[in-house]
Amino acid sequence: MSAVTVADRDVALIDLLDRLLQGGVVIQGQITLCAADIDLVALDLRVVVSAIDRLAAPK
Amino acid sequence: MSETGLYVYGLVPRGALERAPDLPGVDSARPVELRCEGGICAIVSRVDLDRFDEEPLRERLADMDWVERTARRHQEVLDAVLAACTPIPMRLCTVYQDDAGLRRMLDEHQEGLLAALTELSGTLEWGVQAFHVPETPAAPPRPGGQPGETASGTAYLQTRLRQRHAAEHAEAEIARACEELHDALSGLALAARLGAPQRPEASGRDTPMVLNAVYLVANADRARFTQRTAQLGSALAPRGVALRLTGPWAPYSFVPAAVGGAR
Repeated sequence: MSAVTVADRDVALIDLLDRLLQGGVVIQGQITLCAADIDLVALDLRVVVSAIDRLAAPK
Repeated sequence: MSETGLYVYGLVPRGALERAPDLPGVDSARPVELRCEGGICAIVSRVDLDRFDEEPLRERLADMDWVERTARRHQEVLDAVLAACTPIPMRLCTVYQDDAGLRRMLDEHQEGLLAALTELSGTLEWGVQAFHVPETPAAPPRPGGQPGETASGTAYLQTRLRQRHAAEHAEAEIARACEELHDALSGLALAARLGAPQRPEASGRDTPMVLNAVYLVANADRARFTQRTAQLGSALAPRGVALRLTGPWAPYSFVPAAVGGAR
């Protein structure tokens, strides 16, 4: 159609993780665990490394 | 048999859903359920605490396949309710030790959560990313003029300088295009946020991302917003900008800070 790609259900992992790890609600207090204190930089690096791995080893 | 906790996907107003989505949870063996307290229902599923407690969780987060599977399940469950209502999405791997802990949280934050659910009601999040698609780069100047001519250092430097100016000009053009785009789409949205552009390794595109924006759009304006994005995409293509629209999403980026969100 146009210059816009509607990704819709085929969402890139990075877009999803951007939201799930930096957006959404973190309610402190009663919560036992949550990904809030996860080292996002380290995780981000892993996403990148994983993306590179996939590029390097196409199925 | 190990102890279980409650993995929470998101919160919805009581009565918005007749039943929990019929989907596998992050632990496929266990169904997605609703736990209601006051005017709010939490969408949950049970998980083994020996896998979801802090220490094992930390280890599993190093496993990208597991992270991806979990993130996609989390999203699928929330996606399944978008047609019925707008949930307050929880962050990945939010786990309560037991029902009592979850109910206590819902009870203590009831007022703020209900206000947030009302505010977000009838809205959804859309993502728009812009990429700079450079024209075919000009051939590098040969150190010399016309064939047979004596090499001229001055001519070479002048060509290089012209190319640098052209590149700077193009960059300013792209920045202006992004600004216009963001202004136009913000005008159709209830709220807008700009994120850091993703690196090419992460976005999976070999063209640089120049805009990474999210918009909270009223469902009534959904068609207007997506059509406008498509129009802008066509208009910006000759200026070297390609757009990518994603959504609709649960409002991950627009939960008010008052209830622990990012806004």
